[in-house]
Amino acid sequence: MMPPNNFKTQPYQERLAKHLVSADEAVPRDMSSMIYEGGVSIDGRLSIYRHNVVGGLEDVILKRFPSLVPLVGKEFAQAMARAYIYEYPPETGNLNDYAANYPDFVRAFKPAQEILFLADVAHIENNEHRAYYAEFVSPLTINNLAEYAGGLEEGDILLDLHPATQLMVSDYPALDIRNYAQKDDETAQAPQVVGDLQHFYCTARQDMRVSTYEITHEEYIFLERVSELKQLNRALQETINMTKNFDFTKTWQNFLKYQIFIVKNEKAGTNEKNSK
Amino acid sequence: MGVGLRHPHYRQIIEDPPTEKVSWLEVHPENYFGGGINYKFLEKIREDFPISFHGVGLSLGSAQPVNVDHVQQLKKLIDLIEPFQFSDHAAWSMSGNAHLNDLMPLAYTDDNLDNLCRNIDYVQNTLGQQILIENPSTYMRFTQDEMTEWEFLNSLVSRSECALLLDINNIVVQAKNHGFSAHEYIDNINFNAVKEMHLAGYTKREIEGQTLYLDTHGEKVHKDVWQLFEYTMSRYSAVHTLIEWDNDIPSLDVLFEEAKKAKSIIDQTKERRCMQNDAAE
Repeated sequence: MMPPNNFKTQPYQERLAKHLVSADEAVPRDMSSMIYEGGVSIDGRLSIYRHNVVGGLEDVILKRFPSLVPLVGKEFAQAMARAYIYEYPPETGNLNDYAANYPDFVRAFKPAQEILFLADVAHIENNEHRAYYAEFVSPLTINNLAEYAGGLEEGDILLDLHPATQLMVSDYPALDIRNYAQKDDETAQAPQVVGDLQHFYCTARQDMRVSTYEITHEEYIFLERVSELKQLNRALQETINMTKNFDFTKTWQNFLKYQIFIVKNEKAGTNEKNSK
Repeated sequence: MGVGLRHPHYRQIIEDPPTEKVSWLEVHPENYFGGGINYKFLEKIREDFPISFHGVGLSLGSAQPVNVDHVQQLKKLIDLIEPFQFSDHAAWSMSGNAHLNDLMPLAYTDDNLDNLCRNIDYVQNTLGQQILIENPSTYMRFTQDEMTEWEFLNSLVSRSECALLLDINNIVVQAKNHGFSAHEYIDNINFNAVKEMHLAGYTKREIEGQTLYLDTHGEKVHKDVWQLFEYTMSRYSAVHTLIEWDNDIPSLDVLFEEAKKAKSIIDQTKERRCMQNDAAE
């Protein structure tokens, strides 16, 4: 049963919530009659809450997208995060889900539009965050492959991407840029940012570690086909039809190592997505 | 004694469980919603330590009802981890669709008592267990206040059958910021309802030439907080007590030293109380 509603103090809380996540720092006039000054003005008192609310969310975003700070500088990264907070204040108390659309915001953020690769770097970090918090499901690995190999070949057992697996395409070497941004070594060579070649990335979780790998176009197509068709043979056949140089054996070994897949036993009517 | 379990310490606690230095750990359940790697760490750590949940996201003091989805996620996690205790705050964070990610102060009025009781009832009924409500730290007071903070909390306990989590640092911060006696607070709070205490560090900030005390959980416990803790323990029997540290998180050894100090105060005051009782008899 839903709890009953009560609107008696709602207007005050609504005004204060709006004030604290708004770019306009002027305190609503009618609020001043509600709060004792006692040596510190109401502006001064509310500035503590504003600092806690906006500063706390800023920290969440800067920690979630750590490579943006070395790429654009702390001041710019903070200003961009603040602009996001004012436009998209959190809607729940679960901050793990907050700022999921930040890469899209960065892409549309006018002051950052000259930094063409920035949104894609944010996208990689967002994918890694999603992989970190994804549901734990037993992956298909080299150790349990024998159990499913026949069924996978026959199409009785369905294949899917692991909930932690994330795919993306970038017109820039976004992963190299991200790795360069995170290097402490000042002599490290900056990657060449040329926007004429597509890069394909797969983020995966191996046990308790999340990593992003650059994969080939053919591997990307194969993973997309698996996600769409759920059958190994059909995905493989379509990939071969769509590409010229697909080295399935090497790809399959790597993907098993990265723990990219799960299996579902459709024939037996049971789901092999054993949550652990 | 317990300490707050935070991300930088997961691996150390799993690899070498410090069971002789601390007897339980407390976590913010919201950090484990949805599963993932953090949840796996918690699942492993609970094999060695009892866990308590200290929520920061229910927004129990909101005029609007609590977020049903949030309560359901909490229930799911409670069913999996089975914490021995669950607490949240006498504060609000949510209004309309905005969640402020901070603990906003309530005016101590009957209206707000109604709101808080309604939301606590809903959560207690849904979870099937009692909640502990923590006294807040605040940086403003309201002209509409109709009662003291301890009167507000005592009424809350009698009306909603919740328990209290008494944060000694918050009482010191409140007393300094709003000019009342911390001892009077301790003397008047319904300590029978207190099932947990928190100790933490505050930070001083100069604003417009005045000093305000902020509940930052980023420093060692201050002397005046230790003194109030000792005063409290001289009057009442000990309950689960926790060292809480959320910002600029130090090594576990620093937390254990603070916990040891708290334990020593509990033991010394207990001994003194026993001697006084013996003398009285």
